[in-house]
Amino acid sequence: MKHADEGQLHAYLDGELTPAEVTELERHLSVCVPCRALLDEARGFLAEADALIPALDIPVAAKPMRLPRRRVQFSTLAWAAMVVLALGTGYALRPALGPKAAASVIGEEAAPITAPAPAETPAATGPTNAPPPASATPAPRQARRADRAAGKAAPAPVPSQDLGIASGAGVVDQPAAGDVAAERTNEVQHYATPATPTSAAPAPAAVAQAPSPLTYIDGTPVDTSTTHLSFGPRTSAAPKRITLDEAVTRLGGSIRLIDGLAPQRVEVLSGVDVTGADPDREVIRVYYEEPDLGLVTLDQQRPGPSFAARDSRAFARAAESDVDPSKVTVEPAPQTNASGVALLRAASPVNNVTWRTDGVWLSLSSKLTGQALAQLQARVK
Amino acid sequence: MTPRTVEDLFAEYHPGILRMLIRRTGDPDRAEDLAAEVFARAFAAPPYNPRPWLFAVALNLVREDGRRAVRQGRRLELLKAESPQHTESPDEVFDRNERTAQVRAALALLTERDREVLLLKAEGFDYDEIAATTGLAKGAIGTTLARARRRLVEAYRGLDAEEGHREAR
Repeated sequence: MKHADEGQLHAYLDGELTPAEVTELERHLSVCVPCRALLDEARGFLAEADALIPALDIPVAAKPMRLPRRRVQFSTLAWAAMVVLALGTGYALRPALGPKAAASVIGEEAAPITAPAPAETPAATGPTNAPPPASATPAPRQARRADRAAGKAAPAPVPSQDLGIASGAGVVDQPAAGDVAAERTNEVQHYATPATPTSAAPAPAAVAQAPSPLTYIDGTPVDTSTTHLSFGPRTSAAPKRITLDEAVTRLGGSIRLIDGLAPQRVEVLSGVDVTGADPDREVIRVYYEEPDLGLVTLDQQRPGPSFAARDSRAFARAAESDVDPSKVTVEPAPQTNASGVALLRAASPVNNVTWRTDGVWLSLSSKLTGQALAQLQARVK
Repeated sequence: MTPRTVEDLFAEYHPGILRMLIRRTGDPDRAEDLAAEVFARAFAAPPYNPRPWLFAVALNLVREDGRRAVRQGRRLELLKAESPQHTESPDEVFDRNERTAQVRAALALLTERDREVLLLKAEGFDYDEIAATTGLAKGAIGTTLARARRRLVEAYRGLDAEEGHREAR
């Protein structure tokens, strides 16, 4: 190879060459003295530049970092209330305890707010999700942590999808699967969300997360875990409006959305009410409203294992519809508390494409047809 | 793909953004204002690929904001140099400020592009990320860094030598 140029040498020192390029360069360096000298010089510049740049840092007075504008959420008020309560309790006890003891009461009360997860859990706290020292963390995030009271596992590091986030861990601020199950007290049906395959957090004590071993009946694998079989009668619950964050939680750590569109509204529905979905699981519905597209809804669900086996043929059919989106008029199931938007939808014809990817069932509905619909589908990530 | 909340982005990236902006501008107050502006923009349009986006916006803001803030910045820098530090001796403070000033002067001798690439590398970006943030071709990053590092070091050595000569007199 020709002599090495500066750029190559720096890329080599930065670890940015491919293994093949490295081999070739090192082979050349072994026989070329001038290039070795260049490499040494490059190494020197790199090291010295690395030492100089931090000299530009100016110590800034430590103060709690706050977002310039904050949405006022319930959780912020809850946090504020908790702080007031903690301080109030400490202050009220002063006469009885004396100032020092009161201060330690405040300290104890405040501790759950500032560092809830690490105390409770042996699991490695995800690097980006562990609350840093209190002064540095914005309030709303703290509040959400405080809401998830003692006994919950720390958020399991979820592998980042393709967000290019260097840290890799904690794509979203999400608790482990067991945490989610324990939180759902309002649900009509109780699901055991399957633990994310790559989850690193050990099972929280409250909910058994270890996948149950499959047993075979007549050669057919049957999932005998009782958690998702014990629903009782399948009931149709009214669609409930939720936040995007909560939707991510319910889906087990990640959600698929239409690239480039802003979600207007997110709801959770029972699978019973969604055509083609696993009736035993809930469905997350994301609404989009765009002037040129009209109303678009994207339904998604993590269907149960038995659903997959049962409907494998049905989904093969649906998968083919990716190429030629089936034109199906979807009628929403009769609901006593239909959301206003669903009623609107009932009034106009809707086209639908349904597919599965990566263990997620997806269904896209809009007034668009054919290629436009397929293009929209391609934007779902 | 999941859009993260701005709170999450803030917690994760604000320290790095602020540090990079301080290094770039030499003015902590201005850097804080710019950093806040970066996240205000993220609030309005949450990015799907946050790191390159946030840093690109930060660097753009510095460039746009440059002329107006220069006079303000200089005044503030003088004030900062005078404010008392609690942990260092006056000599240490003087030395640190002088070194900072010298590195800043050396950095100022680089082209805008070389400066940006150098600062992004110092924030732990790899070549792909630098390319995504600056819009440069990945193949050009090595050469850019080579030139930037060389010029920074040689400029600093030159300035340092000058200072040494002045003190010796």
